[in-house]
Amino acid sequence: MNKKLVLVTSVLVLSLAAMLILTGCEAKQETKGKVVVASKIDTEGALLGSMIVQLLDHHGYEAVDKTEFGTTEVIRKAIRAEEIDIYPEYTGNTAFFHNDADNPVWKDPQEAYARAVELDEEAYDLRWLQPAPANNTWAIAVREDLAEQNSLFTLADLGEYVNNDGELKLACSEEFASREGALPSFEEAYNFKLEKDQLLILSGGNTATTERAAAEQTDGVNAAMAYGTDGALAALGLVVLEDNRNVQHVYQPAPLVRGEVLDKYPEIETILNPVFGTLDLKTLQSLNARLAVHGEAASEVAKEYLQEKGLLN
Amino acid sequence: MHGVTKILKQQILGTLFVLVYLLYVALPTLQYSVLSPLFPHLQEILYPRASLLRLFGEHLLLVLLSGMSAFVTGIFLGIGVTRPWGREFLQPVQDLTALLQTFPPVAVLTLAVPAVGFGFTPAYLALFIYSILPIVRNTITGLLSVPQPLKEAARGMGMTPLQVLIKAELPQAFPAILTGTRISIIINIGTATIGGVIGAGGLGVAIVAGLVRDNTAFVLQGAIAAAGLAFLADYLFELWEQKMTRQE
Amino acid sequence: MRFKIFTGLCAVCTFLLPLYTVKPNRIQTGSAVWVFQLPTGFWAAAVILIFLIAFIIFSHRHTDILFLLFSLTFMTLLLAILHHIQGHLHIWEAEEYGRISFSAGFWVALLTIYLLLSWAYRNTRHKLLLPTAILLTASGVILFILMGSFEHSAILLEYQNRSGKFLVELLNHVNLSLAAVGTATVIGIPAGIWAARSQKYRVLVFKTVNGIQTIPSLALFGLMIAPLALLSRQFPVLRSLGIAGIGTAPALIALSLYSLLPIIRNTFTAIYYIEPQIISAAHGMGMNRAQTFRYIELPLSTPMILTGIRMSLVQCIGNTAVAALIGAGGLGTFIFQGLGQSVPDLILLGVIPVILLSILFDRLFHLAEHWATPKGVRLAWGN
Repeated sequence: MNKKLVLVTSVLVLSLAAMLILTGCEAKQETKGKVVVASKIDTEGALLGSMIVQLLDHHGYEAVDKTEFGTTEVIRKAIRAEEIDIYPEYTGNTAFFHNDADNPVWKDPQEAYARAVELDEEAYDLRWLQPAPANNTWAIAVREDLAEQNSLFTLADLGEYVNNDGELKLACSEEFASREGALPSFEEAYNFKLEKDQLLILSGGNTATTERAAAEQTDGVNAAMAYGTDGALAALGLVVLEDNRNVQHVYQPAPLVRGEVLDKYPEIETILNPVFGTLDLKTLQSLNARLAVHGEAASEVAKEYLQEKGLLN
Repeated sequence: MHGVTKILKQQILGTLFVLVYLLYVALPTLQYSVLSPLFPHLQEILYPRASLLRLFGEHLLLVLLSGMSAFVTGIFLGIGVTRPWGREFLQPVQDLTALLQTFPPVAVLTLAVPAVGFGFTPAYLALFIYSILPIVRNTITGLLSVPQPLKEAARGMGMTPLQVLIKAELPQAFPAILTGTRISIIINIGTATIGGVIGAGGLGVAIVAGLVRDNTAFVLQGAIAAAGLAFLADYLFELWEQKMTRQE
Repeated sequence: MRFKIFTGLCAVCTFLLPLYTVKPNRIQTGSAVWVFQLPTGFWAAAVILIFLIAFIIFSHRHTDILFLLFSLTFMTLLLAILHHIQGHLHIWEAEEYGRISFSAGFWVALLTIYLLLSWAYRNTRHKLLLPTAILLTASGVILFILMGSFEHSAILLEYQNRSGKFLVELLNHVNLSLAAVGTATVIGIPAGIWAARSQKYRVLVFKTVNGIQTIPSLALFGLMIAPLALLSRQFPVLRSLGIAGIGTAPALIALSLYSLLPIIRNTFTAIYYIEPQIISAAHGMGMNRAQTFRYIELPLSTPMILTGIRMSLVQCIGNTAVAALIGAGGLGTFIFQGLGQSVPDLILLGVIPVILLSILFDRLFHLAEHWATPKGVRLAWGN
């Protein structure tokens, strides 16, 4: 037999096996039980997911860290397939999972939460825990200088400004421009219309790219699609315009748990509720900013916050 | 006689494939009827924000533009380093292309973003740079393998160095250059698909959108078109190469 | 001479382009830093370096040593500038969250250094030149790391934020690539031998693997999703094994399919083109078919097969990065996260290790190929 070829191949295979074993082996400890924690693939997801992981760990559970797991659709499928046990979701999104987007209840925080609880429990036995007061909804942000010069505070102001031929160019994703609940609903409610050359559509763009475009005035952009709790807004000199006619759904973040898991470990609810209750808009914005702007690690920011609130020592 | 019918049969099959492919790309109804039986539970079957034809057009534009500029640049570079005055650069260029070819296409593509930003331009630049490599390498190999006696004979006939290059060396090296171009165009088509993530447009857009939204129908819609385009390009090059060998 | 002038121009370019970018925080664009914006000492050093280039261009002796010295001074200057910027972040109002990214000038400088060193390596008589260069560079970089010069480097900051995940994804990446190429090797070598023996199936085998190789990687990953999702729905056993539409399973299958072509092609070529005289000589010595295969064909074709494995592996490491899009993890995760958050340094955190891995495995296999070449063949080739 040709020893050299065999040797090379076996080194290949052995190193592979070694690594499989290395990654497969985890130090086993006595824990109350295993909980798989996931989150969406963005900074807020990383932050909230990390908080859940640390709190569960602190209370003696073995939290499997799958934060920044994937997009909403992917993660939703995973929890229904019982691949994950818990993840932070936004109340308003539930409307789209159950084809209930036209229902007016989604525009009120309490009613939206109640509806989400009802729909998810009935259909998939998923339980919503206490939501954060912060509302992470679609929004339009403009440059500070533009807002000051033209005293733009609300979207109604913006509509008026646009109708009086004020200069505006909005950077947004295709989805924001075309999706029923986003720009079209703003245009309808505030009675303005952005022409094609007033939009810079960054296909596949997310708020990080659009906000940056507005901050750097790429192609004359001075407004951007944004999320309410985005952390980068202040650092980039952008202000969010208030949705004073409540066009948007309410998107409050809250942990969503599989019923089976919650029944087994009912303590989870009392562990997590105190922290989500404290996360209002300003708090979440500043925590997000530490991740997105300062580039601090999600786990560090989460840990400091939990310690500050006395939930972790 | 047998060989002729075989070639004929191959050409008919090939033309049929091209026709079916173009019909698939052009007709949303056809895409729908192919995909909808596979995904009965999905509400949206076709990528809604742009027609497949448009994505196909963007893809083709990106590949052809970068491919052609790379072809011209690569050949000039290859000729340059094999001339006496450029000979000093032969080794460095060969070293550098060998190094750059270990870089994965996706790395070159995404490295363009910090340098140039999102959109068509960075994708074009990345594809351009990446597709020069096989062309340069094969041009060099082709030109270096031209037999010395041939060149000397051409010079003996009173040709200028430029004439020797055009009339003797390049025709000899052409098959190698063609192979290089074929490789680079195929890689280009694949890399341009990944261009969907950096906002370059193209067929990758549907695939990426499908992956992000967990809609396998979009993924398949784009993937079939992208794979088909690669097969199509490969087939056309195959025909060209066959034609050349037959002429010889 | 022309080459020296060219590299000289590259070095000059370095000082005409911005070397670094200082960003006040993670998302703002930041300001570019040119060498002439720095204190006099630095641009004086730059000017001296440029004169040194001129000297090297017109000298004819010891160019290799001069190139080595020049490269090292050049690199030291770049690192010293980085160190300086870091100590003066307040000038850019970037003290607390400031981060330094590498700019065009820096990359051109690296390219120049690579060109100089590779030229010196090819044209030197000193065997120790390359090891010396590597040793000195490494110790220089380590020295600057110890001095804390990289503390505000953007890539390093991104790394620190996810140092735990980085290691996991790095291992994951290597793991997935090796597993895919391993699978392809186990299938590819017999398939290549079979193709060399049986004329009937040769065309079929090559048409198939060529066809697979033609499909764009992202499309192939996409094509894997639907059938696997269907299978795992139909057979719950598969699902309990972790086989699903997205994730490792489709990635592994697609990557293995991709890796087949170079391995099969090289195995085929190596076995098929062994000179018939050698085979008949073996038969003449009384070897039977199996013995001929074991003692003649396999050793002779091993280097070529290893070349095939190397090509597969290098290609696979790149494609594995794409596999992150279908949830297979690996270093691609950072690349696509960086693209999503539009943080270039996070993209680099994914891309640079991918490139380094490719180069590392490429080199390793080159060594293995050399070592696996039978002594007789090596002698015949004259090396």
